[in-house]
Amino acid sequence: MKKERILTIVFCSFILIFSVLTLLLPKKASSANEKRVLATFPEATFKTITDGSFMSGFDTYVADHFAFREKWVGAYSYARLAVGLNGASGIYSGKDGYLIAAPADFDEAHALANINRILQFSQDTGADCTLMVVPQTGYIMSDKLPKVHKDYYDDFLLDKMPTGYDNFTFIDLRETFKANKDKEQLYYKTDHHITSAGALLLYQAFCDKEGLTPETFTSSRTIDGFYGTSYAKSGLWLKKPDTIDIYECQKPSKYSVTIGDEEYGSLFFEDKAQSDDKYEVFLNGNHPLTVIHNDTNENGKKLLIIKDSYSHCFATMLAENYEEIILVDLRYYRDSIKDLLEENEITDVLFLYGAENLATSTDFGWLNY
Amino acid sequence: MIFSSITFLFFFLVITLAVYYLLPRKFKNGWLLLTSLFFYGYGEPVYILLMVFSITVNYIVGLLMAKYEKKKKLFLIIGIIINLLLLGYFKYIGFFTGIINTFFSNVAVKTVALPIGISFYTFQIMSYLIDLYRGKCTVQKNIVMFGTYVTMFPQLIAGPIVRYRDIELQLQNRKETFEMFSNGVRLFVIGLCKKVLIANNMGALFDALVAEGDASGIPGHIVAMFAFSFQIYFDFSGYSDMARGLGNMFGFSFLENFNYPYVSQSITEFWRRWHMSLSTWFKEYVYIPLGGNRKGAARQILNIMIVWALTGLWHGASWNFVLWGLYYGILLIIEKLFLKKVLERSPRFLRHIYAMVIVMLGWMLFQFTDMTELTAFFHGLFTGGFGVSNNAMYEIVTYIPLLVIAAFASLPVAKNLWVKHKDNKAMPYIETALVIFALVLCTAALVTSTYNPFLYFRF
Repeated sequence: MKKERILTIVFCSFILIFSVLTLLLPKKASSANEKRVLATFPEATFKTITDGSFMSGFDTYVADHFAFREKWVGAYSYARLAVGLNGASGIYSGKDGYLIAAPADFDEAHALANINRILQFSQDTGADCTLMVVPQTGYIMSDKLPKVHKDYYDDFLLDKMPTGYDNFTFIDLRETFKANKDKEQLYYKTDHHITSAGALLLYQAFCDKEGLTPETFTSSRTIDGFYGTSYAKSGLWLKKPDTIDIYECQKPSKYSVTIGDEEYGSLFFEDKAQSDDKYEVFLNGNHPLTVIHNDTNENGKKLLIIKDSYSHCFATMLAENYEEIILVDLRYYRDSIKDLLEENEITDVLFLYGAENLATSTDFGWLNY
Repeated sequence: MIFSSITFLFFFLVITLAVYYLLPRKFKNGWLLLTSLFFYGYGEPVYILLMVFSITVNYIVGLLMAKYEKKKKLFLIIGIIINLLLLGYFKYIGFFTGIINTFFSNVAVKTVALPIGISFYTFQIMSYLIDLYRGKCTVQKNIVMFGTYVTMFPQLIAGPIVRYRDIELQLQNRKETFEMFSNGVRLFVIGLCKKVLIANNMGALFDALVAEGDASGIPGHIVAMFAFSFQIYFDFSGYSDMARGLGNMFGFSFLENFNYPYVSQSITEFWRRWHMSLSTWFKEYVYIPLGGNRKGAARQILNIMIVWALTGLWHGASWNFVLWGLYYGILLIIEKLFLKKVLERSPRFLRHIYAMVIVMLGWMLFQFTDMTELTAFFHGLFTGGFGVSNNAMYEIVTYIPLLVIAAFASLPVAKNLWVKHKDNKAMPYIETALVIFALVLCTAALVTSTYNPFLYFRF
């Protein structure tokens, strides 16, 4: 080949090959890693073309379906890591395969306002309110973080908790977590959630506060090949997956779980073990309202948990001690919480959040609705 | 459409190139015009009409100037006024009504979406009209060819500002060769890397440090200035490189627009190396007609200040750009008056530091269109502490390798190596490997920028 032709041929082949492959390869409807539906081909009408929405739709379409899209993402993620940009995706690549979420942007006033809304709720309703906050992975597993990283604000947030109220208690989990972090794996390596071992610490701490007798939970089975949200965000596709360890009580009760109009007979959704987000094996993932009824335990105890997904694994344990647990996710639940309390004659409320969600959530306004 | 997008690289360019090379010679310009109009209208379709209007009007003005030799000055003035009115309306109406509004509050501030590239193509058109008047080029009687000149997508939205007379012959008669195309690939890929791999990341560093505010301390503010200086250089010169590379692929050669401006040892030198097509334009079509340096020192100083106020304003419709232009006007005058002689006797590294400090401070004037943000930045830069918050330190440390890469890439190190070894037998292989590597990295970066993991999707 003549010398001066090489670059021309290389360049033209490169752009031609990937444009043809992008057009010809079968299109996926959704992206498992991004947890979203991928763009469909935009509709070409006079209106969409003249107002430009066809063009922006086309841009999104080819970007969403570009040939070997996730391989490219992986390549760039490793390239960034290679030049020292550890955390540019919002995820630190830490020691021992840990992928740890970088602390999100933190607005002091907003975080304190969120805590105040919870306190206000306890004062308005008179319910016995407990707040448990799961520290961020990076705060507890700080020895797994890369040397330079941003500050985690857990201490700032959790040191500000209001004290001296009869019906508002904050359970501080920091010391428990720090004391146990080297004994067991408390956090997943590829996901932001706590493991069953971590959830068990929450369970024990909550039982302790409520004066409940904690049951004994042991590992009953495992689900391999769990790639969580940190993995998806990081683009570091060569990292090893986690194993989800499901803990169950020695002699488990019978449950009915109601989600929307559906009723299920188990706390664990085994079919999710084959799905993209295996963490949904616990209580089937995020829903506005989930009701767990313990058919074996008729002690009449009821609890409302206002929560994010950190609670899902924990709730499968606590269900043993309550006749009924209602879980509400403020991100999606749009009815009055106060009505919910009254209708179900509930007097105990647990707020259970990951520190990041507690600090940054914009949904606490719905509490007083 | 922008060059650094999947749509451009893998769809627009593929089709445009393929059809261009399949068409017979006489349709090539028409195809370029068509695709350029498509390229232009892709983001804001209605402005195709504005573009067609501009082309037609200026084409006719050119014909009239050629036909009525005695009245050509009148037609030139009419042409210039029409172009400046269009530019004034679409780019500066918000700025002007804003000024009027401060004095007479009953005038509403009007805003219009800026047609991309209007500053560039307006200047190109004016170079045609003025050169035609001066007899430096001949009239273009073919509207397709004229339209191709005005809209040609490689230089349409971010320059370089190509004078009509520089490509007059190429429009009519050019020969595409493998050598030229390969050279175009070289330039395009370099430009793409500058934009996608360096400029975008430097922009992220700058934004992160500015967001840290005073907590980043004096060191953080200094690194932020470096980051922005790299961002704007690699962004702009990268775009120019891509433009020149694409031009080559279609058989055109445009003049160089950046010549390693960050090696400059004076401000005068900097402006001979930075955005050369703009400085040349202002020199040729504003400074010299105003009398340049031929009407005495006082008049020269006035001329310089006029040119630089306009240069500033050309960059954006906001006071900080005027300020930025005047800043350079004053510095250039000071250098002309006495500093040049002082500099000549100073050691090389001092001259370099002097020039870069001026340039970097200047970029901050350029960057912050909001005066409160600008003063906040300078406040942090000059009165902040030496302590750097952990979060700012994280940003700085993680970006050190890229900052070093950017520093080397802004110096002619690689170019010198290339010049020295380009005849080496292994060079074509090394070069090919580098081009493939660069294309893969840039594609990966472009794809990643659209990768958008969404945590809670269910509702």
